[in-house]
Amino acid sequence: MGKQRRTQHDRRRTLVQFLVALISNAYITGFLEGKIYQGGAKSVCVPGLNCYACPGALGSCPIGSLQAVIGGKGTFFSWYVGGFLVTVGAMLGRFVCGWLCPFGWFQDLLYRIPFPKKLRKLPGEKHLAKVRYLVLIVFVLLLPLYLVDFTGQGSPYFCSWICPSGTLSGLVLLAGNSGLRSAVGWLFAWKNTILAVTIITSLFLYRPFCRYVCPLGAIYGLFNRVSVYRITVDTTSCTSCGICQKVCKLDIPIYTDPDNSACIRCGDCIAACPHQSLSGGFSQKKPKRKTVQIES
Amino acid sequence: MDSDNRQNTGIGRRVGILLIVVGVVAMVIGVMNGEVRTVLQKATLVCLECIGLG
Repeated sequence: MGKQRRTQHDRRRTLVQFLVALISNAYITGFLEGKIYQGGAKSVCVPGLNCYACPGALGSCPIGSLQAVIGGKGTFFSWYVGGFLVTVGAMLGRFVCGWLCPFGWFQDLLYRIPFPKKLRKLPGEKHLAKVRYLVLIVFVLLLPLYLVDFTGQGSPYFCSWICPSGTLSGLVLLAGNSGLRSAVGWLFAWKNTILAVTIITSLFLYRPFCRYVCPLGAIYGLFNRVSVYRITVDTTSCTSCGICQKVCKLDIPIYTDPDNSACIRCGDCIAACPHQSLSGGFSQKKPKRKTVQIES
Repeated sequence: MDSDNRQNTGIGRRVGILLIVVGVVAMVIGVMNGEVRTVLQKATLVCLECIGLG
């Protein structure tokens, strides 16, 4: 019964991830002709990490957009992108990572490939998990703001030096564009190395990029404690059996810490709980308590 | 413990709703500041930095 529930849940999540990736990248002409969509929809950010250099992308990546705005001359903050991130974060938290992020789904698919030994975490996980905040502060915020050219313009340093989602999009774009292929250099090689490391690590560790590097996940993770969507533990029926942590591919003890900032709200724990003590949603469900009538 | 957990959840959700309102207001300010144009300009040109060429 529990296994059936988990299989159904897994299928449902995969379907949602597929549909979101499809809708976010539905500009088919871009793939066929090696060019990008240039319509007005690109003024709107998508919730997940989906590079706007992808030939199929219909919307904008919030991290790329944030760097573009704050890297502009005389601009120190983006109300538009900042507001978007606060709105989505406060509504969903890292549910975006688990269900709505195309690059997260890409890593999910890689993790499904059989590998001799899958790891639950890397040595020094606790410290490695903090790297994503460093990436956010240094590459997304500080460098675009302060490392500027002679005109006062900053570059999107996270996109330039790190983002493997952009590199993946670039490979698709370059495949159909010979003009861009002629401009390939050392930076392209560096970024492809990061992409290769991400892909290889994803084969034996669940979502390495989301765990350690993603600045978008770092932002949304801050909202897990206050987001309207949340996971609730019914401690009256929870026996602390730890099955939720065993099935969690991120090894989070969800029964003691349901608001953990690393939790991507995939919902595997909810589907696996034998006592149905975990629930996820936008409304507060009442606990399943036995009612006892006291006669006076 | 259970009631604590649910109380925290309720407070968290209320903070979340407040933040959604703040976020929407910030987005409106951003739209009025013309930030949408900057986002659109960046997104409609091939981002050479993103693909590792710039």
